[in-house]
Amino acid sequence: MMNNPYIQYIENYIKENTPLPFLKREDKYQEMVKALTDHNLTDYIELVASCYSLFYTGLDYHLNAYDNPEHLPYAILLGDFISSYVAEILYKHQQFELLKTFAHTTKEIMLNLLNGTSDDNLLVNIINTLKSRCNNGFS
Amino acid sequence: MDLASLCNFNKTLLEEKIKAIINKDPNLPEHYREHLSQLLFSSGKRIRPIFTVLGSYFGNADQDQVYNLAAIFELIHTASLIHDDIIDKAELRRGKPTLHTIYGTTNALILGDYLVSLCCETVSNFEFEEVYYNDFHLTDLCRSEITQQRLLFNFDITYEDYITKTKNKTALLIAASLLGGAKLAGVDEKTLKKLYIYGINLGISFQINDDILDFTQDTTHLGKPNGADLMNGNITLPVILALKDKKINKHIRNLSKQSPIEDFNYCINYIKNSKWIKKSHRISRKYLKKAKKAIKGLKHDKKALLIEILDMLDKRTH
Repeated sequence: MMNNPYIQYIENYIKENTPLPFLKREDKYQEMVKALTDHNLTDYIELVASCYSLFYTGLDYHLNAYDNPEHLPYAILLGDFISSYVAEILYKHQQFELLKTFAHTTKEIMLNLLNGTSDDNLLVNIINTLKSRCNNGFS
Repeated sequence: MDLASLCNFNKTLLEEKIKAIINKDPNLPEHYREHLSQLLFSSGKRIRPIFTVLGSYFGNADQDQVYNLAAIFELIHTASLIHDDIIDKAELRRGKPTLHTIYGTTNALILGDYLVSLCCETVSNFEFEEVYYNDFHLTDLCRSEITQQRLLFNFDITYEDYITKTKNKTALLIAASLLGGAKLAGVDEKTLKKLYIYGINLGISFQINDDILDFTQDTTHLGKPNGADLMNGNITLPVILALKDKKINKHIRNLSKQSPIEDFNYCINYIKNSKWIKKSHRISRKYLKKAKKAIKGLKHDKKALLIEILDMLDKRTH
């Protein structure tokens, strides 16, 4: 994870521009690396594992924002910045199917949070999107 | 005549499109949907959707699709307002209680996030990726807001810093809205470039006018006290110019988060009645002229409309 350029970019940006620590989600990164490896989808590790891990980093800033009133604006803006960054790098790599999966599933996660539940299908949906792409002959 | 009428903008169609998007999730609790609707259907200016529709006039586009894209730009703008209100600790938005005062900070943040994801999902569903992500970078807007946070009560901010911030904060979204509509209509690259420069300069002028109105407009129209930007530590053009004024310079530089309201009011009233407001207007007009220059070589019967919009913005009072 330390060598992942997307995560490093965000970590450096936070260090240089805000008073907040980087909320690293190594657990989420490793969870996706394992899932991609198990399904023989290792070509996607650098991009997909970083987007997956960064989504939770961004969400953590928002879920914890209230607990740190002194830096509340930074927590809000960082959460917004990171989630837009994820969408933008997926677009730059022309990963339109993944972009759609991310948009739909993260929306569902927000709906679940608003309904007081914590169901989360992001990992499963990403793996299914990648598998269906491989089955359709794209790689 | 207002901007919407001038551009023959169909408000009803936009509202139908917005409703179709926000009504599609049965799992969204009804009270959240109601409050989102209140926010979306109150008296917003619809600047971004109007520019999307305007852009489409420079080519041929299915108006149904254009209004779908216009609705997305309005929704993303609304999501940013929900988060801005938390940052600004605003209690009212368009005369109604802000969402965070009703639902608390975390739920309002998640509702804003939901709206952003909903927009991205709609972009994918309509296959608008190329017209949405290519020219509109939300990260630029966020970076600019983060820089603004870092520079609160920093009175050494330069005119150039302010223009860069204004471009990223406001002008990029206006230019992207205009370009989005034009791209959907299949407008050629040369025209797109002219429209982009027009949109950026118009957007900068628009924000400068907003920053002037923050000092000059009566509080009923403004919906917040005069000088709210300065009270929040946000240094805008009238303040940057007033810092050159020996009579007020020290007073402004002494302001901080902890300053008493009287100190703020003294500076705000001074700026409000000073020549620096006129000077700010002149700078705003300079950007309108740049916008006009950008479309000089444009040959299209709707060019006159672009010029009329600049004239209208020049006379804007609220």
